[in-house]
Amino acid sequence: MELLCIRQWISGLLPTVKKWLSAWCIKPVGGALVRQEPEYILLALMGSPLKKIMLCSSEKEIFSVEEQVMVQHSVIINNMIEDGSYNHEESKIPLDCVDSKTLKKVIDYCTHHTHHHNDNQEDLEAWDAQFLNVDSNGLYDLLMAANYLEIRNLLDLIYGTIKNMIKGKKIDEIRRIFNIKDHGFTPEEEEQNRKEYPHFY
Amino acid sequence: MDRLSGLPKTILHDILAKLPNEDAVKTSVLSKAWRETWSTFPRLHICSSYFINVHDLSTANSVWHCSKDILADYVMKRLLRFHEQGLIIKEFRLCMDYIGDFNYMSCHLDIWMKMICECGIKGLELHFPADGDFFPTSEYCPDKWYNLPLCVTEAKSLTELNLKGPIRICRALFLNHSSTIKLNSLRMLCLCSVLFEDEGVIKHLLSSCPLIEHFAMEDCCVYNPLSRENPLLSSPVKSLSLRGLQKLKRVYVSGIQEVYIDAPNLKSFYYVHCDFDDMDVPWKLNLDSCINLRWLRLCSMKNTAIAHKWFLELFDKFPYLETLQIHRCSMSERINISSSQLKFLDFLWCSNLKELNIDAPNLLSCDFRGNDTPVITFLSSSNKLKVNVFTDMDFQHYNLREFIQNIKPHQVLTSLSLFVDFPLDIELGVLQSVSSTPPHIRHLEFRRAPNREALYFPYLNWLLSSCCPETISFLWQSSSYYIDIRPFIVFIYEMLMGRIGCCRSDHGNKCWWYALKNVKVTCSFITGDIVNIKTMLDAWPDSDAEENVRFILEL
Repeated sequence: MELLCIRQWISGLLPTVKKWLSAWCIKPVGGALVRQEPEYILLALMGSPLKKIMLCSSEKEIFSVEEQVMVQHSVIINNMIEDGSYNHEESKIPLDCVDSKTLKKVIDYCTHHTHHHNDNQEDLEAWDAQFLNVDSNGLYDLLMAANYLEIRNLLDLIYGTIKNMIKGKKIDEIRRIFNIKDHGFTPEEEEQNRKEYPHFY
Repeated sequence: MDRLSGLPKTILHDILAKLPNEDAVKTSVLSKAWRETWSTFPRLHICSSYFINVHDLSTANSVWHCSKDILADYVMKRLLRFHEQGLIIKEFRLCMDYIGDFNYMSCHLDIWMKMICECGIKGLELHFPADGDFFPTSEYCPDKWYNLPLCVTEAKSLTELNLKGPIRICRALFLNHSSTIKLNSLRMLCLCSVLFEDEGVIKHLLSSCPLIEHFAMEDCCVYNPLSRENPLLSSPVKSLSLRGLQKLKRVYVSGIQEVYIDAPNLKSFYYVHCDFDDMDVPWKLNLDSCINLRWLRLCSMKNTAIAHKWFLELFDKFPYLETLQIHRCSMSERINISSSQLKFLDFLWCSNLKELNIDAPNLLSCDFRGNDTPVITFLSSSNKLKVNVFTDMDFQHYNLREFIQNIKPHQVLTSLSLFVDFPLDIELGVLQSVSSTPPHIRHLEFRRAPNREALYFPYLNWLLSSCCPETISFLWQSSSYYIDIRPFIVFIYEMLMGRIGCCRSDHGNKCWWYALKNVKVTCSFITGDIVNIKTMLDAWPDSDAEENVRFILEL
């Protein structure tokens, strides 16, 4: 595989797979796989647990969060740290697409899931359900943030919620739930639709 | 515009990918913006039943002619959209209930296949009605097979190919079999009712996808012009050889006599040896080099009994085997199973079995179902073992009490769960009298009720004189359920509470359930314990979900 492929491949790995990789003492350095001492690997890949990083929201508010937490969940942040483009002493990671309220929630999610990943499934699901108990604007903000930061499990969680809002419901109800005031079809088109798929209405 | 519709297309496509097909189609009429999103959604599922109601066809041929044009236009329109804009089609699944005018459909299919292959197709599924499925008019010609076009076997981006016949794969597709391997990305290949021009074509197909991980072949045939009996001019594939496939993990083969697999990474193998009607066709399996096999299921191996020796050799050949499932096979009378790795063992509907000795200290579950009542002995077992027995309540031929009592050692019975299915109707046998407490088992589960109230008592009497369960549960789903289980549940409750008389044995002893202190009731649709069975009946759900009611018997 060419170097570029290896890099892309690794950046696409889930945090858990990277953990596994670290157990094999293989560290991606500049795209190549190099043998290194285990302690260095674990430190480099996982970040020492108490090391903190700074995230800056679009409103210029700064949030300090454990490096390990963000690296485990967000592919984007993980890449930035691995690239070496992030300097712990000085810089903060600017996230212009995410406002403070949403960023706080995202950090909340990642922190909870890192610290409680050994909890049983039911407790985690209950916490997730409570976490997503927000208004629809908040939900979309979270969705955009999770997409931007590439946090797979949060994305899947929100997708699941939206899927349940659509699944099994009639068109008029879905339009109401998502606040689709103007569907944009001409009256003739709308009538044609109703004729073609009567069971959707 | 509302926020949802304004989200980036990639996110909306991810959401559509998670919806079942019906709901995804719904979004196309939700709003103009959603129609846009829907039309570029790269997973196309086309099902002919949306366009053609097959029940209308027998009355008016003209209906078919109209509908097939509508179907063809629709598919063309959608494919053109992707083609013109250079978009990728990730998945194309076509399910045709009815082919009708073969030439017409064939031409269109060729065009569609060409277009999707040019759009970087990843997953392709073609599902056509096999002969015997549905062809009300004489337009359907059984000797017409759709020839898989060349573009499909040369699609470099293809990762999944799923074909269900009648589709023919010709030699011509592989004439240019120079060194370039064509289907390098193919990971999953499933062929059902596919016709091959000759056995060599199968070899060529397999050699063109060396990185395959999942392979399935069911009821495929080879063109055989000499086959006079078979009007389809074909005979079943006789042998299959899978060699040199390093990545092969899962294989499912059905209807092939001889199978030889050389794949060191093979994890699971599922083999069905069909009932070849008149021929006494022996089966021949060689998986000896697949030492990493973890999961094995064998079905319908009837002509030659699976010998006692075969089981002994099995665990030597496959030291990592964790799951073994034998369904509908004929066995030798005595079988010994000895393995330290085995975790799951199933014997379903096997015939001839009289004695089963299991020495598997790590076994987690053992399932048994059938009309035989062999003597089952666990020579070593852990306390994690769960034994599940499924019975059809054919009490005239089946001595349930004896069967349960023959399971040794007796402490295994405390983990035994009995799952009961009632035959649709049966003559009442002799009412057994309960002479002594039957063996204690863990759990008794009903999935259906007897269809007549008069049968409640005889069935229950027979069951409860064969076993003494700790818990009884009723599991059902109202949509797939046509007999109301409520009267049955109430009857059992009343019987256990001693309010409905039982037959007294000759000694005048009461039945064991009279000694019960309490029967606790819980159900899936009410939280907490239920004090009054009436409250449960009042709260009976209408929903389609799977529900259960559970009695805990306290002695």
